[in-house]
Amino acid sequence: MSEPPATVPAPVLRPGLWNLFRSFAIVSIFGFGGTLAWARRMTVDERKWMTPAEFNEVFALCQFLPGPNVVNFAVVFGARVRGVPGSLVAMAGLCGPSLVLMVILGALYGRYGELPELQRFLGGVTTAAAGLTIGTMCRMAVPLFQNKQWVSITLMAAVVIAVGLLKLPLWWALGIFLPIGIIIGWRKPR
Amino acid sequence: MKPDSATLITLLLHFGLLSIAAVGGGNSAIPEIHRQAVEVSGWLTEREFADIFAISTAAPGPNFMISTLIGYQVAGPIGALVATLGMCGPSSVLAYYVSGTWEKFKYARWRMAIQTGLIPISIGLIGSAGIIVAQAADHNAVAYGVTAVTTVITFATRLNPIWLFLIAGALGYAGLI
Repeated sequence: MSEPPATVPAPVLRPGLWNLFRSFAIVSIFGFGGTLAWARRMTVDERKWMTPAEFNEVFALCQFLPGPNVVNFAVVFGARVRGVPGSLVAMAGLCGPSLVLMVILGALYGRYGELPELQRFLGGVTTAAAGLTIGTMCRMAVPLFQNKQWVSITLMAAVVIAVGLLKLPLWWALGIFLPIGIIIGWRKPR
Repeated sequence: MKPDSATLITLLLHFGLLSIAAVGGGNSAIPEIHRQAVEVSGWLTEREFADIFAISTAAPGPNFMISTLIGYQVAGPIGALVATLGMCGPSSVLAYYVSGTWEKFKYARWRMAIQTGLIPISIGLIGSAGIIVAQAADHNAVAYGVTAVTTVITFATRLNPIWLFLIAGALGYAGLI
């Protein structure tokens, strides 16, 4: 792991390690409702570390890869500008503050979670959080409908039924649906 | 709370595997996280899972932080760290190496086939996550109504979700949900 992977030319401005850490920490702290959008704002719009085209390139890669997209973005971007230390520092900046925040919130929940007032408040928030997630799914599905990809839409519905309603373990679901998805993709690549 | 090493190893393995199985992003893993934490291991009750989902969704930061909170619930601060490392570690190592060779297969047919095939699956998994949380959280007509309205607002507008959380939280506080 010595040479940083170079997929696109290195951005014109190359942030130092501290700058990288600080910037991703800011993304982590202010990233309400989708950290990746904040990561784009920071790297492309504010600091000019990447062009929009470079961002789209890296974004496509991060969507292709499994795992949290925004962490993948930090790893790939960090590696581009500062190699392995860059990856680690960007990741630490992204996850560190949230980790601390979650430990604090977890401790507060452990202590006050049984209070009826908090229970009622959280119960309300959860109903909205569920809607946010379902709404996000609907938003993501729009291109499938626009492009009349009925086979993909059927596959999506099958996943919702199998995993969401029938509670099929993820491994089973991936084992069954991934080959079907890849066959669909092979016959009709975008 | 003194975590034993067996629990920590279970956490690391569980989230480490999910890191690679979370196709298309961290939220795809939520149905499996729920299954493991509530149904298989009994780490959390259904209500605790719903609460933790709400806290991690409403708090700033990457959305996979639900793993961190579950780690904390199971084994304290060390559990939080272990779960986070598990969720980020394997996928990050993969990202580092794939990023170096991306250029070679960016336009390969198999690469596009996998990506096209993953899209409906990851959308379906995110929808499943929403349904699972709704089942855990919604117990009356007002609750279903809030979930439905939030779904529509999220779909149709770009309103910052924090307002929806506050309104829904207030309705809950008032004892309506």
